[in-house]
Amino acid sequence: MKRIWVDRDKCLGCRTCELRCAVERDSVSKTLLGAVREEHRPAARVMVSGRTGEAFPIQCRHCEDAVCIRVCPAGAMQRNPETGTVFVDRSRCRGCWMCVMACPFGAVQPAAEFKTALKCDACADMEEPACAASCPTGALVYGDEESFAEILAARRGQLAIYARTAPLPAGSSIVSIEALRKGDGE
Amino acid sequence: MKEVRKKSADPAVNQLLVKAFRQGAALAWDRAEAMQPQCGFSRLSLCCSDCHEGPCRINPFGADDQRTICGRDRFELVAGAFLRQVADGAGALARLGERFGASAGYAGPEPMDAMLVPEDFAAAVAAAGTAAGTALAAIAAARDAAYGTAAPDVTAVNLGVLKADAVNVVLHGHVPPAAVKLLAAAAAAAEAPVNIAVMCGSETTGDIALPVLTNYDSQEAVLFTGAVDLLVRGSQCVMPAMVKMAAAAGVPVVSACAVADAASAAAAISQGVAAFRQRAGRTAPIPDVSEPLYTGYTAANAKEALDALRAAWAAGRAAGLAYVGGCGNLGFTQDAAAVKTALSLIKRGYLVVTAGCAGAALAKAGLCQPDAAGANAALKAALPDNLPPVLHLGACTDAGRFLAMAEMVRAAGVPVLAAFPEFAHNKTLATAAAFAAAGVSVFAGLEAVFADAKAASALAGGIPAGKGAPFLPMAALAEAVQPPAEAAKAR
Repeated sequence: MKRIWVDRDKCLGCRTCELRCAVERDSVSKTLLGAVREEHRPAARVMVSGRTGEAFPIQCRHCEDAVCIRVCPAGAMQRNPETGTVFVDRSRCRGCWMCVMACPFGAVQPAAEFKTALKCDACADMEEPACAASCPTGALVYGDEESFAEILAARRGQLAIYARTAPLPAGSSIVSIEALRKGDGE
Repeated sequence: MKEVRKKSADPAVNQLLVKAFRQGAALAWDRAEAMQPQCGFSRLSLCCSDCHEGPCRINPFGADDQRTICGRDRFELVAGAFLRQVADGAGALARLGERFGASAGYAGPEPMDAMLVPEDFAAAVAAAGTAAGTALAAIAAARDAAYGTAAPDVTAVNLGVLKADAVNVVLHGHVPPAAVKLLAAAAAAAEAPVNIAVMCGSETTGDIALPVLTNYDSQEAVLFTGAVDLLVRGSQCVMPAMVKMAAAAGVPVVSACAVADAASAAAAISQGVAAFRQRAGRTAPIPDVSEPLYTGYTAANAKEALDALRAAWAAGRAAGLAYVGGCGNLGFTQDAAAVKTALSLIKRGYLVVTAGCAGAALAKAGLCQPDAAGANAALKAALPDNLPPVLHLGACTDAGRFLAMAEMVRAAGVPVLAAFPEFAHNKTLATAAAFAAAGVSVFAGLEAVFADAKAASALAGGIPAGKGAPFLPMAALAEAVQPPAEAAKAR
């Protein structure tokens, strides 16, 4: 299943994903300058949380065992069998906010104006979710498990380079590759 | 979400874009693409890093009562940022004015002295605009006094003005008039033929009408002709990339400030001659694109035309006088907005005046010559012979001449307006504010200030409120201009 993956270290907290999400998914004009002048304030389905320097974007994780689907009494919260994403059928939603209370991430918002729950559906009908497409640092990535594994591997590769060149603390039992090559690691 | 648009409407630039792409060189367009997405908060002027408590930002889709750490609300952020830009532009104009011996120092307001945004926003913009207007008027007066107000000059525009068999000296950015004079004298004494061309601010500097190369967005393309032998770097409108790219291409770069006397000018030109000798063996594929350019119009030498315009307006055959200014914006096709605006104004019966980079765009489109295609036949018949549909004043710092022209026709009630479709540098923004403060309705292609309802309505109410002319978004231009016949009927 394709997911929105978060590379936390890359998030600078600029909130571009929030703006883009609100404009793309909740405005009529679909442009930033048009959206700010619309009567209904576009709402974002992604939120940048955390402190300065430790920011990270959070949106629906489309849990394998989604508690929001289990608690929904109206059958509005559903899983798309094709893509595996969880979405709200707004015509069925009664606005009881059970999902809002149950979500462990706080990713479901009550849209009081429409009396329906509001959450990320990974931009089901689009090629790429708006948040991932707009992220300037690449902290949000859209892809399957494999593509994120690649990102992780790349980062581990960087860690290996770091381990290779970094000086070892005195008395350390870890031997650097450089030291092994030179032959003083024996 | 992907948009496809042409990078430039200029055929010469398009030839060189292909060449740059083949060489794997990154130009401003490529850097602009790499910069996407640009920060939405900054686009709306909703973030602030004026002080060290910040940075702060306000969510445009959030609650109304959001405040920065110091307590600014949304309007105060937008208004403060706009004021700072206008004041910055006014300061830039004043500094350029000093080179013409125009004025002593910048007398404009310093809006950031206080953390509080002035209560009367429109009045504060008007004050900064008036300071810019004073600098512009002083530049115009100094230019007229030094070089007279002779008939306009005829030169050429676009990359075809470079000569394969001459030393091409490019004056780039705002080069002081004294340095231009020294370089021209040194060029005349050089041992090889020297061709001086200008771009981005030095148009018709002094009494010599120099050919114009191109405008702001496509400045780097000039280097891809391979025919530039010396780059004289002026101030303000030189992209840092240009200097680096010239150095990488082996083109000597001389700072205009270093050209202080005849000896340094001769040394600079001899660097160009040496570079010319080095490239002599290589062919330079200069795009064979150029248009004639009638330039250097002033209120004095265009008096006959303005008198005719007044009469034509009274007879219902002309709609008024319009200025098309601005720089360019890489988000849009280069030159397209300025040309489209000018053509629609001409079609509706306006005599168009232009200067600076928008002026270069119109000149490249062939509008600054008497037999221009796209001229309004009815208007052309009413105006003197041999008058182009677009009067080219010179560099953007010559915009003060338009204010004098506006003064001449406005007394008779002729409508005067100014359109700035795209901005890059703040001094163009200050020019727009100066025009509005002087009573010329301004239509500006700005985003942030018009996205905020309170700021937009304050500017629409006139700068300053009640007395000055309105400062409106570009979208309002279509409604504001009326064909002459209908306007005459309404009168």
